[in-house]
Amino acid sequence: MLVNSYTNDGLWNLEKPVMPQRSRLFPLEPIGIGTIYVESLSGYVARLAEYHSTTTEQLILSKILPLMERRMSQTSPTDIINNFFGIHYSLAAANEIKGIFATTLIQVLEELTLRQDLTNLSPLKWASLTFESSFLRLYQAWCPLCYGSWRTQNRIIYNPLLWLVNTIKFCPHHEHQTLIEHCLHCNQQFPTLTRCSRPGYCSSCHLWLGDFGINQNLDEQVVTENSENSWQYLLMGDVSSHRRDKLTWQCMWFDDVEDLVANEPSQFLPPKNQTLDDF
Amino acid sequence: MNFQRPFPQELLTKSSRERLNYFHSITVGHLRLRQALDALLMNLQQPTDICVLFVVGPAGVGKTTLRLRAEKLLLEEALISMSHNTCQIPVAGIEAIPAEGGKFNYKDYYLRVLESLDNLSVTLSTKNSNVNFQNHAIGSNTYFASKSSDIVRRALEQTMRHHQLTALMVDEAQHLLMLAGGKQMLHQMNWIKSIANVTGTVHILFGTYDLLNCCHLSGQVSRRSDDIHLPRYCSDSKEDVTEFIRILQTFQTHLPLIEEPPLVEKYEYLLDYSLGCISILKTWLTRALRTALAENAMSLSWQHIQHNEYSKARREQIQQEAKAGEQRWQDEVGTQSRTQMETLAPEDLSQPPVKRGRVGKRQAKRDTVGINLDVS
Repeated sequence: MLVNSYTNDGLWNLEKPVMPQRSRLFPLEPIGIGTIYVESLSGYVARLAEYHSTTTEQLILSKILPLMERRMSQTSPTDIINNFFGIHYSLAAANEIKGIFATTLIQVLEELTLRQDLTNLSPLKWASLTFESSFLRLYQAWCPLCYGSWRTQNRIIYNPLLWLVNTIKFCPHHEHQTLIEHCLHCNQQFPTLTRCSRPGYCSSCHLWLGDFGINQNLDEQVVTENSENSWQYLLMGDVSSHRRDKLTWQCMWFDDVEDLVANEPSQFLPPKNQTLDDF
Repeated sequence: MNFQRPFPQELLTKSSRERLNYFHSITVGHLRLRQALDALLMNLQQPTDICVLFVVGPAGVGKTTLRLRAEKLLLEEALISMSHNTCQIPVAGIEAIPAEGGKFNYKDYYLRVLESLDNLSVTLSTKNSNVNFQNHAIGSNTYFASKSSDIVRRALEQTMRHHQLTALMVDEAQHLLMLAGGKQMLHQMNWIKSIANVTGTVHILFGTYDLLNCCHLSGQVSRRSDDIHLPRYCSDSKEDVTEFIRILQTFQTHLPLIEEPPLVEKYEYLLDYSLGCISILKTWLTRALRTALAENAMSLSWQHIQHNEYSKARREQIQQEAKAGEQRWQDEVGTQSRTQMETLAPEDLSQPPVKRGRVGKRQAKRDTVGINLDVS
């Protein structure tokens, strides 16, 4: 029987095509870029770890540290780890090192996530201020009302950098709510980045830090705020401009703080959580 | 002399290893493979409610080849969207591991899938990837290895969703399902279906006919699954024989030897002894080529082929399993392949079943006595 053989077109190539570069970590979008409510770098790392169903410690040790070591060849791995987690580590003399550290961390995160916009996570005049330093709190601070309302609205829970600025004592959203540094459950303080940081949860007892009875509180808040606003308006004119001035003054060490505050939406909220259907 | 072979003439002067590798790398996209691939791709590209696909076929028919080809095509198709979406991995493949001592290790399975995804993003990502990358791929898995299987499953589901994995191909999938007891199998099926459902990833299970044990265990699973048959070539169907000759013709022109061996002349023998399975045929020819190259032969001689044929016991085992499987396929699934199966029947009849009496009992027939001169 005479049959033609397969030509080269009939042969199958099983070799996989060359892929475009894949990101080692999911390219999570940082929250609040370009506004005064931008996410803190430590909060971003914690959120990244949560997203990968792992702990910050594991994420840093397995993914971030190897790349940090390569870039900071003069610093020993122990020092790098101490820079991450050690709260009082060489704080006095370390402003310069911390600056390099934060910049390197951002570069490494950009390499892992293939995102280009992470430098916006440190809109401070000096990058050295990104991690704990004299302008930033040593311990995580938070507004339970913000956490609570984000949770009830199914929004992403994140840690704004603003909460970490130590001159800011009150939540910018909720005028009478002081920022809290002690967990309501265990009365412990914890640093901005710990071995198991998770935005919205205590690092020592792992319980929820936000307010639960939020709906009621939020409503009250709005009512009181409104009445107060109108009263203030009568006395002093435009309240919002007054609030903006106050914010500008408090955040004077942000880069281009006037622009940031001017661009600020009246009520900034983090994006909604994605559900399964969105994928 | 005019060189008419499909490979470059220089190949004939290369080392025998390179020549062997060349022949090894040839994959013929033959009729049955193409049909199965089309069915598979159609199910993936135009998704319906199907979340589990079974691809069944006898040993050595080309299931792994089909998997590799499907993976390649799906990757190529997704290249454009992958360039925008830096964490998308559209398709991944793993090989299932048999259950140890009859108890299936779920965590090990999850870790293997996680590993394969992790490796994909590493190998696909940077060309300058160095030891560091390997190190932390291991690092993250040792972390999950110390966690309970629920946590690992959660992480796996999350990872699959974030990578937007559309298809997970599981080779040797009969290992996932071959567990003692029907209840256990039903459980495994529901388990696979649930992962596929939760993550939105179509699971494609490649395996032998043993998979048919499980496809139809529950209505819920049956509704969400479909079967694809990858049959072997059969000597009784004219279409099959023509296609087999065509494949042989292709192989013989690609054998990197000075003279092209006339394989097609012996197609009946080759079809019979390869059981119609193309991967078996190719392994056989590769082994024959190895012998020929070792002997510096001009061409593939008859002895080379005969010397490397599969032993009778092996062939019979494969044949037996394939036949039982085909029978089952015909009974349980296929109407579409009935015509082909019917042609199998006369072959079965040609071998009358051997009657076995009781041990020690004589057969009722007349014994020959005296000197039998009549030899006819």
